[in-house]
Amino acid sequence: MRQIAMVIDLNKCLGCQTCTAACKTQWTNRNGREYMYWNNVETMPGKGYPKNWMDYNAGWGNDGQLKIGDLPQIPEGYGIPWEYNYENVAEEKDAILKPEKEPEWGANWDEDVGEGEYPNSYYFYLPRLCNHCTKPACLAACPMKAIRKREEDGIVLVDLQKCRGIRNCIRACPYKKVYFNPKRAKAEEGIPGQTEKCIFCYPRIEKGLPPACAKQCVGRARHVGFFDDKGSHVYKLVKGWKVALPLRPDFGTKPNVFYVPPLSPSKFNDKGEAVNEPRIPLEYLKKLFGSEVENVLKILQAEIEKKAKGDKSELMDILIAYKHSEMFKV
Amino acid sequence: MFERLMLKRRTFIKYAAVLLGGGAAFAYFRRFLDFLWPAEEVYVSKELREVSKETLELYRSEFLYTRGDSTGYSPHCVNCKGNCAWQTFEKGGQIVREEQVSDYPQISPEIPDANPRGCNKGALHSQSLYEKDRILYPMKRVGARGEGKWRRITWDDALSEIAEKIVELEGKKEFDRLMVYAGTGILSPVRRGASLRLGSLLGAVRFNVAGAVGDMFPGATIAYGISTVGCSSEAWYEADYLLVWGINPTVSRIPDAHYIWEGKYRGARVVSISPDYNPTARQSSQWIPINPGTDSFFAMSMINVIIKERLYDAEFIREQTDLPFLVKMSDGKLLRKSDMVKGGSDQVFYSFDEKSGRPAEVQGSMGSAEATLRFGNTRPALEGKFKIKNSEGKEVEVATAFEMLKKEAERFSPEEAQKYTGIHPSIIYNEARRFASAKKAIILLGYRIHKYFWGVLSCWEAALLLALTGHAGRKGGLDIDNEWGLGDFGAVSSPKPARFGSGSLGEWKDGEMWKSFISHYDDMELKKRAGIDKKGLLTLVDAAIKKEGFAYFNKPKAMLLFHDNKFERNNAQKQTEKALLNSLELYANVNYRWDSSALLADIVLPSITNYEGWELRGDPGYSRFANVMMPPKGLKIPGEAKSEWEICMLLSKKIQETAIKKGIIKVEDKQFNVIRDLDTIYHDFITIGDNKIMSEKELFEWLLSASSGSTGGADLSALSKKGFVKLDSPAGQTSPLYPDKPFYPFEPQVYLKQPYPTLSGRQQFYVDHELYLKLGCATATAREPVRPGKYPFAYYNPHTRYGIHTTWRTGKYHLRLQRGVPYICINPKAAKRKGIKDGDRVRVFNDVGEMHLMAKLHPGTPENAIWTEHAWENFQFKDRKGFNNVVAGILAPLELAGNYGHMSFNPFWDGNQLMSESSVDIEKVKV
Repeated sequence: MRQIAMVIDLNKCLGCQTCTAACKTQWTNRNGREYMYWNNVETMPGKGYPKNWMDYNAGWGNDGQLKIGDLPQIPEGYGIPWEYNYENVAEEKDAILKPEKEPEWGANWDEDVGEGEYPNSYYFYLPRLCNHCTKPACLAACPMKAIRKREEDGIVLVDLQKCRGIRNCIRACPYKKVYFNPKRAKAEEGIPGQTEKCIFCYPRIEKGLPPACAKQCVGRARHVGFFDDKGSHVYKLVKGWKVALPLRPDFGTKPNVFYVPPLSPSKFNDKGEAVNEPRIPLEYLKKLFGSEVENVLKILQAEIEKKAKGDKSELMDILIAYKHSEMFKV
Repeated sequence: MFERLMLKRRTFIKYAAVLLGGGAAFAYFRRFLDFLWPAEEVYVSKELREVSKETLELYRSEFLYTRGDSTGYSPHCVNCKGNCAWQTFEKGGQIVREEQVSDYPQISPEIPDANPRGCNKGALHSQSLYEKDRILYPMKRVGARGEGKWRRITWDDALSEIAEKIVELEGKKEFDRLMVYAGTGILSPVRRGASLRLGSLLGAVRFNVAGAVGDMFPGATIAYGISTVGCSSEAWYEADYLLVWGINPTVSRIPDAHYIWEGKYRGARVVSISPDYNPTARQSSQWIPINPGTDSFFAMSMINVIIKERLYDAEFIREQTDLPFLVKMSDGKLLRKSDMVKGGSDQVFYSFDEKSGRPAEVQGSMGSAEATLRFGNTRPALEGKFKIKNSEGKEVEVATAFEMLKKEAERFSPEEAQKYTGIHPSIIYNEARRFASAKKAIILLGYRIHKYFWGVLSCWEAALLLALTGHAGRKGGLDIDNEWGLGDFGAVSSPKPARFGSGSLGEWKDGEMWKSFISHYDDMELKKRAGIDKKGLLTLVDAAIKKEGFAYFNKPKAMLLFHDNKFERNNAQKQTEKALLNSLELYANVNYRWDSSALLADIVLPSITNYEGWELRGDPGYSRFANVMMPPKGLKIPGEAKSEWEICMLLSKKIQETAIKKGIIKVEDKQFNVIRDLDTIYHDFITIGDNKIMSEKELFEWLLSASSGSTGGADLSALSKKGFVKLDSPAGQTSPLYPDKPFYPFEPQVYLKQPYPTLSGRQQFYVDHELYLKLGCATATAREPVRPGKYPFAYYNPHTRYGIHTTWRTGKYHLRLQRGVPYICINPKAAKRKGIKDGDRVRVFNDVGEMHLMAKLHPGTPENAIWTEHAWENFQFKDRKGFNNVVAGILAPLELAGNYGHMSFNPFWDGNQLMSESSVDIEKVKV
């Protein structure tokens, strides 16, 4: 089976949410999916979307057993896709434009906050989508065998002919990237709804187009390709240079979305002098991306220095990506 | 459930290990096996790799739906320097989606291509076209202004009422009481052309758009004579040193920002100056956490180090700046020919010629005989004090302007500047040295800087830093506001003289902003930090209009606004709203959505928006591609919305009919020495040269042919192929635009020694205008912010990534990615002291006004400032008291000097509404 994969460069991600907007209009601005963000961008450290998704104790345990965790709730976990009273504003004296409910949580609530104290606080952006895992917990968890992984590209999707809305998949996915769609209920069959998720834009892939989030990423931070294509950026970054790391590899699902970890500017000491210490604590990055992240950051710095001296660096050339079209080999 | 094919491979390897033994033979075997049969991990059985056809077809058909039945192209013609080509998809007469064209050619293999251009906002415009805040029909208010009571009327009735008022005012020769004004909601030539043309024929008032919004760069105009100065964004990739100052490209230059971060991967040093740890700072090499409003101290301390350590490029300074010019020690004025020769010009200046030991006339100035920067046989001294004889034989002590600068810069060591900026001296020494020695250095300076009282100094000093270190021509430069020239559209926009007024003074006077100025600022503080008190500043404002040449006409009785949200944007929001509405007898607003300003109108007229019309957008000078707007064939315009051209065409027809009926046909406009022909105004409106322009599309076609010099003769068929065209060399206004290299300004000056359009003919860093001398700013210096100490927090409003000003600001998809409602960012320690927790309702207030928002605890914010991103609509706040309701009116004295060579009122020399010089306090709201 072939496996398509994505690399997201966290040094180039602008947090602009263009990918989120692209996915939203491509798939989730309709049909019961309005609260879903198949692609979202969250600020880390942060609670993420859904809230505290990393703390649900799901995925594969060290003993090889599948962990079926809790279900995130609407609105506590996902927030509400607020609707607004536009018509009131023009027609009522002093009417205020506001959501139907006082906001308490949203998909990007803690944008740009991060952690730490001024002037040494730190944050970065983490775009997330379904990882189309090689050992998907969602697929393993479904008693109806409704989740499938395509032969031709390894894309994982819910087969809506089989899904009965049991939602073990949501409970099992440690990334919480499967969503429940109550609009897909079939009362007469006792189905309360069905689950849906990122489909890696396979209808686009089939037409030679990269996924919307990747193609439309204006930071030029995403690379898409097949692992068996040794000429692809994805292969070179993940398997060649090994600078693209999985998110929470300890979840055990063998994700196929990888991240180039973020560098950060220097900190300040008590006097206000710049000290050559990165802001983002290494321990935090190791928790997210595994212990190799320390070495990866060193490789990035070394290759940048090569380019600065005027020497060649294949790695930097790949990450700079002189030709946008070469970032995608679908 | 899982089939472990791995198991078979592993078993094979196990037996092989046993057979070959564990040593070298096995190792070679392993390598051979890995090459032939790479470990493929498969955990999913064959059965679970099949997907039902129904599911696969469901998503495929959804995708096809979003590809539409017909397609078009469009940029977004808003106040954005981006300019991006989008493809639009129409289904059932509506736009269902858009996607960046992403097909721009690479200009050089050494430079990343520009793809894709287009951000989150462009990607969601389709969702706003049919939102419930879209204005569909002409509406007339039937209650009080802002009461929300409207009646739908016909276009005919609406235009008749507006025409009546216009003819009445024209008949009374009250041209100055009529305002016809297109705001920054539409920044593209076809859409603006309509209202500019109509206003021009009528002699109506229109403001300098940039001044009204606070986006002028007077600091740069002082140095260069113009302020549309900058590089193409490809240049950011080439820079070795990029100083990003008061601008947040990761947030507000989204389509171009990648060039900066790709440049950093190339080894560039990116330094970000901002009071808060914003998204650009977090990607940078070094963040400089500056105390808000103290940028001139930062600049002077950098200059201090560069001069003290002799890191400057003496030859560049000598030739390209006015720093060798001689200054009279007695009064600080430049030595002029009128001093040296009886009846000599006061626009010719002198250097001290080292060769002859005498003062020598310098060429290239506004009064000079020769337009060159060359020195002929002389060698101007850069340093030194001299004694010379004037025309009366008197001995005069002079020094070079560089000596004056040196003396001033001595006062601002990094140690001294730290007291104001909070920046440790080691950072200044480090950056000054790196900046000076960089091969290519660019200073990206943002619109935020001139929203401070002393912004002029900071920007002027940014130009000076680059001049001192010789970063000009292809070695870098100041990047603030580059624009391409598509062609001369004067024939469309200015058929007759219009009343072009100062933007800052216009809004100040119309809104009676002196009231909040007087209440907010403190005389003693102002005198100490600015050298003048409140009365002094008000006197300067008066003098600016009466003596210094700035144009202000009168408060409007009738106002026709096109896509301008002045009631949301202006300082002291509630006060200025009242003041302006009081003077208005008729206020009509042309818009596509109900924004803060439309809500207050008497008549609202529905217009088209992006995707629905025809346009060629090519002015924003960062991307070298001009983008076309052409609607998909199947697109239906919602409601009764019309293009701006059609609106103005129909209005001019009504004006003509009304005028003829009333016998008010030819009115003499003495001030401009022209006749306002109301009886032919419709004919005059539609006639451009030999053409009759009866629709927006026809204006677009006229414009297309007028741009052919810059677009390489691109016609509609060429543009239809990809939605854009690459601009040709003539599009570059300050240098040629080369097809395969980034654009840098002022190559004719740097390489061909042609003069700058300044009084001195050089990059000007000495200004002996009376006011500058009085304020001690004849040479670059540093001054403290004047925000009053009576409230504890500085208050400023960075751009948001979720709107271009108020366009899209209220879009639900955008609000869902924020907090749904306006919020204010506050440092957690400062919040704790005030008993404020994240999510609390808070009140921000001062003597000017108040506003209510949600608190957002933000550790990247300093303890002495609170901020919210700009451009929330007023109606997103309690009592419609918006984010400008706590901003006091204030003007910058250095922007009130005029009639000084190039510093004379024109589109490059005007003042700013200052928006970041107020102080506020905050408290938790008791529910």
